[in-house]
Amino acid sequence: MSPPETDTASRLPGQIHPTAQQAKRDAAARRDQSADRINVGTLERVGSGVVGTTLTLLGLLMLVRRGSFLGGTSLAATGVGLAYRGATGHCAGYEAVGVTHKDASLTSHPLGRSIEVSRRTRINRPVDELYAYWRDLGNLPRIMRHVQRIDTLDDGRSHWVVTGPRGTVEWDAQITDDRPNELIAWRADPNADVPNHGYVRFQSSEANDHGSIVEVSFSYHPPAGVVGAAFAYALGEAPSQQLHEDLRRFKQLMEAGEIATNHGQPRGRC
Amino acid sequence: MKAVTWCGKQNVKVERVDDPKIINSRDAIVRVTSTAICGSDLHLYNGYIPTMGKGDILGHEFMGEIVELGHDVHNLAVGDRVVVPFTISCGKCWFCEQTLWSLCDNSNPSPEKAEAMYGFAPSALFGYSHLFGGYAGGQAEYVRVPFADTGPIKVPDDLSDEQVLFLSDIFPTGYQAAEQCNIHKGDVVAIWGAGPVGQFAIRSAFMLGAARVIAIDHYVSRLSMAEQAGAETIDFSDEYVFDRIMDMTAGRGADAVIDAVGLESHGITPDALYDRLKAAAYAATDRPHALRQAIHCCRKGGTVSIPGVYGGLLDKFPLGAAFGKGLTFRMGQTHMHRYLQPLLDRIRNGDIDPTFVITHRFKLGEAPKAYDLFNENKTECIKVILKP
Ligand SMILES: [Zn+2]
Ligand SMILES: [Zn+2]
Repeated sequence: MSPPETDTASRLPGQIHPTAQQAKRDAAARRDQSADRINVGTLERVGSGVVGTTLTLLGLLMLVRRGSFLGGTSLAATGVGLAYRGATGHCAGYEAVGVTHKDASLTSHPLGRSIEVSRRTRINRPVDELYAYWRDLGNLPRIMRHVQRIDTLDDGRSHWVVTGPRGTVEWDAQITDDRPNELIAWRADPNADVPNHGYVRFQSSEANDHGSIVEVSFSYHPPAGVVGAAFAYALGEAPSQQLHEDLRRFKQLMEAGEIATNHGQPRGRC
Repeated sequence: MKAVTWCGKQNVKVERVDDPKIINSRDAIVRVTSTAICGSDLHLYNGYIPTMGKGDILGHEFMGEIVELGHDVHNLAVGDRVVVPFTISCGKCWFCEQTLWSLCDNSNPSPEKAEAMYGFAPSALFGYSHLFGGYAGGQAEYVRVPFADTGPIKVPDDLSDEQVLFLSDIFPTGYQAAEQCNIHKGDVVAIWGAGPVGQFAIRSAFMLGAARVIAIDHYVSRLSMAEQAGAETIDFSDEYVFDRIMDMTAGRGADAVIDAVGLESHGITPDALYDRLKAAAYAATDRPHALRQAIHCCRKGGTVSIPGVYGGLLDKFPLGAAFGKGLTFRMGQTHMHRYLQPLLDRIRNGDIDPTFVITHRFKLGEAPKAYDLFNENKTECIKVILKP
């Protein structure tokens, strides 16, 4: 993914993201050359295999217990997927989010590879409202499940406190581009525990009466390297799904004024 | 408070649980005055729906009095008497704005499971598993109603609970099934399944101008309830349905057909979800026998209305017959919010008295007995209501 500050200014709204086109070409190329399907590093393959096999067993155990049907199947499915990934060195999830380095491993890249995630959603509200909510960074912990706190500092700087797979991580970030009702881009301090950068883009789609399109795109280096990423994936923390859920909370809050929940409602003990 | 909880297969209990409280600003708390057991609750009862949790509070057909309001609900007041639709809708998303209420984007707190199965998630429902939001249901003394400014309808004091309670589900569901038939004056409408929803579909089809309604079932009591509404009946256990319908329509077929078999299951067939694992091998999950027969009996160019019975994959679906006869298909969960006011008006005008369908009344504390009776004796038992 190209950093937003390099080329987003020249891009027309609604134009397909060049990296999305690139990702499509990459995917096509990968399909053409099955030998090239390996996009998971060696150490991670071992990790995936072990975690995957364990999860499959756990999932099947849950299946046997009553009431754990979906939990069991999804866990087992995740396990089978990881085991497959470990065995073949191919990860559909990585392919989907555009991770392509087949040679990545802890030994060749001390920080692991960067993980790139991008997602778009439609929100039935005008862009100025969406931009204003997001620009007040202190709002974001409400929609981002893993962000505990964001302190706004001066000059577009902010301090982030985030729950990671191995405890809390913190970093300082800088807004690198800020175009009202259009785009906010940020970059974390390069020495941060979790180096990351990304942007959120707001586009009006009033022409077809569908409100606005919000696109979030970011990339980061997972703190525990690629095996950490494999564990995060195994535990349902696939970054793409996480982003999907964060964007859904944003949509619910902007459209309905609240995030739907059933936490805190009564239930019996049987 | 007292509430009916799901404790596993054929095991419901009446328990003391915490009172519900306002969680979000658009919530209301309703003190339930009447609630009903739906045929679809039997699928929960029989343990077919895999995302139920032990201790979940049942019930999606209920009404009562507002006792508490979140600070963003301005159209209701404490003390108002309301009927609550079983689908939960935010009223603000694109789908709600198109009046596609049961397809609301924002009411399900955990739509991931439904998204995995369907690509997208429909709206949440009260008391109907975690696939549909995991909200506590209304077979209780009190219930929390999310988005209360959008769903509940105030009802006048001169109408009894029993007259308006079925606005919560089965009357609108039967009505939408008939409305989807695009009935013209003189049409013949054939309805498979004469359970509670089928009964309301029969009466709604007449209201919408059908000349004749044919009800198909095998429970004598249900067929005679259909006859009381003016329907002609076919007992499929001793007649050939297709031949009879050809006979009755002089070889033309029914102008529209409604598949209300197991319709009480509102959008989920138990086997559909239960067979989710089997579906890994892409074996079929739903059993569309009545639907196949309905498609067969529908005239060329006619309409097939399916009030939301199916949850999974269909085996041997006669697409060739549907294509060859140029049929129109209409289906889905009821867009409840569209129908509450017009159907309340119909009840007030005396076009219909929904109490006809009630066969049994119990106290809330007798819920285990009521569930057992409804499950075991579908000949006698058509609709059960519970009074907290
Ligand atoms: Zn119902
Ligand atoms: Zn909605």
